[in-house]
Amino acid sequence: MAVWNLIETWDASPGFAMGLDEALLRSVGRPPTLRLYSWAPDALSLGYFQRFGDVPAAAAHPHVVRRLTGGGAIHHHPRELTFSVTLDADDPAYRGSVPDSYERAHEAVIRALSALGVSEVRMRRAEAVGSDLGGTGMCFHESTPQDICWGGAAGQLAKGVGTAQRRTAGRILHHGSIKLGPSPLEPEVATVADRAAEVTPVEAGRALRDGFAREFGVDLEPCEPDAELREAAEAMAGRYSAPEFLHRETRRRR
Amino acid sequence: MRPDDRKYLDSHEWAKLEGDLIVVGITDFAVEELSNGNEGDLVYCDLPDVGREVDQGETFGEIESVKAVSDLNAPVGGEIVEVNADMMEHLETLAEDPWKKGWLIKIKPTDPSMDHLLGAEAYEQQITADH
Repeated sequence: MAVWNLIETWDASPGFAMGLDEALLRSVGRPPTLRLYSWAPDALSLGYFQRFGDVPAAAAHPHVVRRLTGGGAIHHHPRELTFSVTLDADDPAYRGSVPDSYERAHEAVIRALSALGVSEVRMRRAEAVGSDLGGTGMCFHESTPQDICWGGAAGQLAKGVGTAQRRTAGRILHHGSIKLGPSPLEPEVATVADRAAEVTPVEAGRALRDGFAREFGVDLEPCEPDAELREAAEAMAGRYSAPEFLHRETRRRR
Repeated sequence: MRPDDRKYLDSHEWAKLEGDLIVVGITDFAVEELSNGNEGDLVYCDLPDVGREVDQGETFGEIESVKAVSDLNAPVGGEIVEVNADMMEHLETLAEDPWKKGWLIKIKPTDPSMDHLLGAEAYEQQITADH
């Protein structure tokens, strides 16, 4: 059975949260790694090409970073689990098209959510969701067919997980946000607490670890980021909130 | 069979000599990999400014589909002398015609040799082997 590394970094600063994902992405030859993490303090992350001005919540938030991955803005707060998978692009787990790779990864997340007691969790496909709102620039307010949804507090189907990939130099980063409880910056989205007993990020992380292990048929070996990885992450940590990156001009329209 | 009037990178860019310039685009396979053929899934393409110098293999831009941001890599080194700004406004062109209208940039190469790139047959073999 293939072995993946498992890294857990709880209460990561926003810069380190992004820096470690990038350091893992750029670690040529590193085995597949599932990383589970949470953020402290809470922060907003913008999509790679997203205009700062398209996210009204960003202007007032004290901690905003820009991700390496696309899509919309995400609020990272104490009632959220974030995770990442980093691996070589030709690894059997992620071979095929980008949409194909999402199918398996999202099935792993669905397994985890089901194990936590969230009922009727599924990919959106052609269903309508109540979480699609205009004008916020938030990732969870714009859904696509493979997004993971379940019944939210208002009783409507809503998006509860947002994930995105970056592919570079033969490696893949696939990271995501799972909503465990609500945020005022992301109204109408689905959370675990809407359908089950709320869990902590650590508890949700255990379920996600098991979901990936079962879906991909791998063993997960806990490990700590080594000194080289940690130093690389810390060296890059300032980049994601640096003005030239955070406020860069982009012609992306939404 | 992909066009044999050009060469290919294993990262799915193509390079075609036209006069003294190298025209660069991405293959239909790359577009399919990003989007499973849903042209609406191509969201944004970031291309460089005219005048930028690139090295062979260097990332010159990025393309965002609904679910991934991927690198665009230079098959040859040189100066970027033209950029397809119209295609950036009409990304569906990449899905409709990646071989002509969907060109991305034109490079004035430092060295026009493309011997280091894959021929059409070798590229076909590679994508068959990998998937």
